[in-house]
Amino acid sequence: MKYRHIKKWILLAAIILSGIVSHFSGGINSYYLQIIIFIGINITLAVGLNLINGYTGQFSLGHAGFMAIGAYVAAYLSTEHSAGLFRALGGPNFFSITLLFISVLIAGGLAAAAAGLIVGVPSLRLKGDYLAIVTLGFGEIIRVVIQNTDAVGGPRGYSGIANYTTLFWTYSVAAITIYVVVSLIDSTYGRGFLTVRDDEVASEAVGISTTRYKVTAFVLGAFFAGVAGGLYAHSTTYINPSGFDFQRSIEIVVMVILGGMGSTAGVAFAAILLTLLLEYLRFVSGYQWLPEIIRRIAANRVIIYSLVLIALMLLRPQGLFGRLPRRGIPIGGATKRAKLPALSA
Amino acid sequence: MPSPLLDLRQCTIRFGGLTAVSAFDLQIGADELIGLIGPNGAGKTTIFNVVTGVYRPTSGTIIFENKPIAGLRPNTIARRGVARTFQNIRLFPTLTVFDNVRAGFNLRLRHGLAHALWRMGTFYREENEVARQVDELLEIFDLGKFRDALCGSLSYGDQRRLEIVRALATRPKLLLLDEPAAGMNPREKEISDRRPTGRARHESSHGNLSARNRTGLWNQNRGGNPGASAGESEGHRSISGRRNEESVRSTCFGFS
Ligand SMILES: Nc1ncnc2c1ncn2[C@@H]1O[C@H](COP(=O)(O)OP(=O)(O)OP(=O)(O)O)[C@@H](O)[C@H]1O
Ligand SMILES: [Mg+2]
Repeated sequence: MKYRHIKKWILLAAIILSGIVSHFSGGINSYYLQIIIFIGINITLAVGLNLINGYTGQFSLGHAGFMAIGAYVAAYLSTEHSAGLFRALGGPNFFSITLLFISVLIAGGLAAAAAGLIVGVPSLRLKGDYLAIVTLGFGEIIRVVIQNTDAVGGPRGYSGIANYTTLFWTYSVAAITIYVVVSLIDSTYGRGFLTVRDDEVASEAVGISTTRYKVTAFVLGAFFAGVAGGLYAHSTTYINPSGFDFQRSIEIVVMVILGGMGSTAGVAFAAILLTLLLEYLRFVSGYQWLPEIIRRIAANRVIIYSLVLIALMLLRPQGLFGRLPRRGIPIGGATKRAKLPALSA
Repeated sequence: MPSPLLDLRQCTIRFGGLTAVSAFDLQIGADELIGLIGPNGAGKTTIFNVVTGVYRPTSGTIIFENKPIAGLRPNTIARRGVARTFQNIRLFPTLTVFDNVRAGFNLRLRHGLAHALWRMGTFYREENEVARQVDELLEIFDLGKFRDALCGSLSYGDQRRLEIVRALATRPKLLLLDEPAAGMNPREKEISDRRPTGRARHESSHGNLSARNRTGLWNQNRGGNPGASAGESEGHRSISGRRNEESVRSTCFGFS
């Protein structure tokens, strides 16, 4: 087959392109640059969560918790433990910084993935709302734990993080995330995520371990959230626990729903759209000529998410890019029960 | 005498106070076709659920290929070689016909996560082989024309057939069909009665389905004493013999 490796070439092209753009990004207004980086981070977060909530049909509400773990672990390592590495490699030069940054990003990702495993294994037996509540609780626990950890600043936050995150890193990570999810789903192995979403009983009946797929989705999603957290920390150079609260989790969920739960392109696009919208609304809330009430609404993200979701459910319940499956048979319990011929003696 | 493929001994299943199945015995050998009959609520589906691991028996043993399987996870039992269909059809509604059958190949995959990401030669070889076999199965069962349709758009009879194909894709040693002809109109029923021939033909490439048929007559008083008895009756010479037997409602195939 001629196009066999097309996915890999596209990934490589995306990474090179982000490298080139990054190289010439010096002239970009730093405020815009920051927003473009946030967009890339949100793409990573949303596409990763989409593997859990969209493709595998679970409902995780604790994505900001995984992001927080990645952010704090990466920030802590790069701030407190970089001296040795720099000494060994002749000071902070291009090579040593690159090595350091890759290592701390991966470490943050792995820490988040480990947390995903610890939370996922017991709680993925729960379904729907119950799983949502457990993951929500998990996210809050993480936040409270960080708030009470003095080594990373507690409630005051953690500052003095090096500014390593560039367009190149952000969009390379986003491209890799998209590549991983798209490649997985486009394989016989990865279709197992979809069958788990569609019907767990039938999946088990054809030999698909629903637990294994759910945990895999959870761990992968957590890993990417952790890496995204590391990027975020090294972009803002200051993080505090309230930046990873419940609202942040909701924000990522809204991106997934907006993008159509299970359409990677749609979810990535929704991440771009929502990031821009929220940023724009910050200006709106500052426009003095607008009535007070509108400025207040624009400043309140929770109201905005609610409005976005209500509008979506009314106008396009399948999401901006999702396809609504034609369902000939209702799923779940009440299937049409067959009329049987009377038993003859 | 060779030991049976499936051996149910004194199986009892209680749901709270209700005894759905009581001290049930059933032996199925390789190459056997068995029909389970009984009125509504007799416990036919419950037997299937217990054999496939959806429920655990309250007491009794289930031996499959000389190993106890009671209490194993359903996916483990499926990997051991037990496939089934459901009385209320359970396909994967957001997947195409092709992908529904492909799901049946999941358990025999040699590649996993790493291969799906690395995507080198072995990955494509295996994917192509799976696709070829799925298409072959779909052709044998006349579903090739629906290959890329969502399974929900198929007629009821075709959905039942697709579910059987998906079960066969796992290459089972034991196939349990729960009311395979239920809800079909006479024409569809006629088609599905032809199917076992096609299935036998297909399976003969893997094993042999030479029929040594029994019909397990199973009478269970629902109200009174729930003493079950499994009997045997002669006279079902061929697989299609069950066309005459309206009351055979669930079917077990043992493949060798
Ligand atoms: N999960 C369950 N919880 C409680 N009772 C159950 C459960 N599953 C089955 N039963 C009961 O067990 C009995 C046997 O049911 P089962 O579905 O196995 O019968 P069946 O022979 O398949 O009937 P039908 O011909 O209607 O399909 C019924 O009384 C049913 O209500
Ligand atoms: Mg039944």
